[in-house]
Amino acid sequence: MFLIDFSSPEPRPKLSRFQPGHWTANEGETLVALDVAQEAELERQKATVLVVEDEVLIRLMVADALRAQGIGVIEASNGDEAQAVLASSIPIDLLLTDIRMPSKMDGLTLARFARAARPKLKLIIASSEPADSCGSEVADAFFHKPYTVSALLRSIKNMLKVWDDESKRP
Amino acid sequence: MNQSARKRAEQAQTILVVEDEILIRLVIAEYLRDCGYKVIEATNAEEAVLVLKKAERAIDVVFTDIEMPGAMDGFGLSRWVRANRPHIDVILAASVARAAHAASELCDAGGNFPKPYRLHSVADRIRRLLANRKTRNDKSRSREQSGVAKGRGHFVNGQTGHAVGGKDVIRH
Repeated sequence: MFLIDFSSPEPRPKLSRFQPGHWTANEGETLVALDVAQEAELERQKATVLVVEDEVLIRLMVADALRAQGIGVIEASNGDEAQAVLASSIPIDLLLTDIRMPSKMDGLTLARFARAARPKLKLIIASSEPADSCGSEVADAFFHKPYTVSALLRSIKNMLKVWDDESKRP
Repeated sequence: MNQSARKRAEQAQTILVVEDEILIRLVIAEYLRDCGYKVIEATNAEEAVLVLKKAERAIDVVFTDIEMPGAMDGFGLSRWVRANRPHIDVILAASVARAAHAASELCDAGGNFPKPYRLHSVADRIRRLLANRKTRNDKSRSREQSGVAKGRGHFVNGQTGHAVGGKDVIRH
């Protein structure tokens, strides 16, 4: 664990290794603890899916199902929110997006943005429109609505190579 | 998940986090999940009311931002909860620092696990993400102007989504 002392007069905050029992801060000082292991754990390579869906109850259902499989989920309610996440440093492995959304950015524009911003990202588009009429060729997989959550889960787990039994993971 | 972890998860209280800024919402929600709560996310008060009315899961705490777009802000949501779901506690947080502080207090009060990381890390992570977004937005705006990431207008959403023919089926 490291301590960053922002009260340091140096241009860059002073970094010192944390010693148990020496956790002190004088009045007016700001000490921020950065546990390197915890930070690394936060950013660990756990499969994460960005779910973009404007209907909150559907978003909740899909997110719950994915979390129950041990997959990390970031929930976005529209294309603009999803774009903010994709433009950040947050690790994302797969984007699942609807096409029609009440935001400046629709799902197809979002998918194209995602392809440009994160070339390795897996991409699934879901739509009630036929695959060939909604530009779904940009995606790795297409789900035509209505679809079942179980079919979606199977596809996502295959694409992310998430195994039910982690011990069988190669 | 082993049996005791599963049991703890089943007993966990559920918090509805209502926040329109996704980079704040996801960090607060992740923090609360990491300290053992079940978390439902809503992006505004209207979504929150829908969840409170329709979600199958009982909600114990509503954790909401005050300023939100839409017809109802955090105060309005708080009034709605008091009038319609008086048994649910409401936490209003007006800033990133207060939201992080309130999340930390929730972890102390009823989380199933020890605090996953320090309070400062929560607020700092949010600030880093927001600052980073501003920088990237500036870059993407200049890229947009050069025609690389051009928008295409938007569709108006049609029917309200609902599950028909079993919970597993998603129609829209």
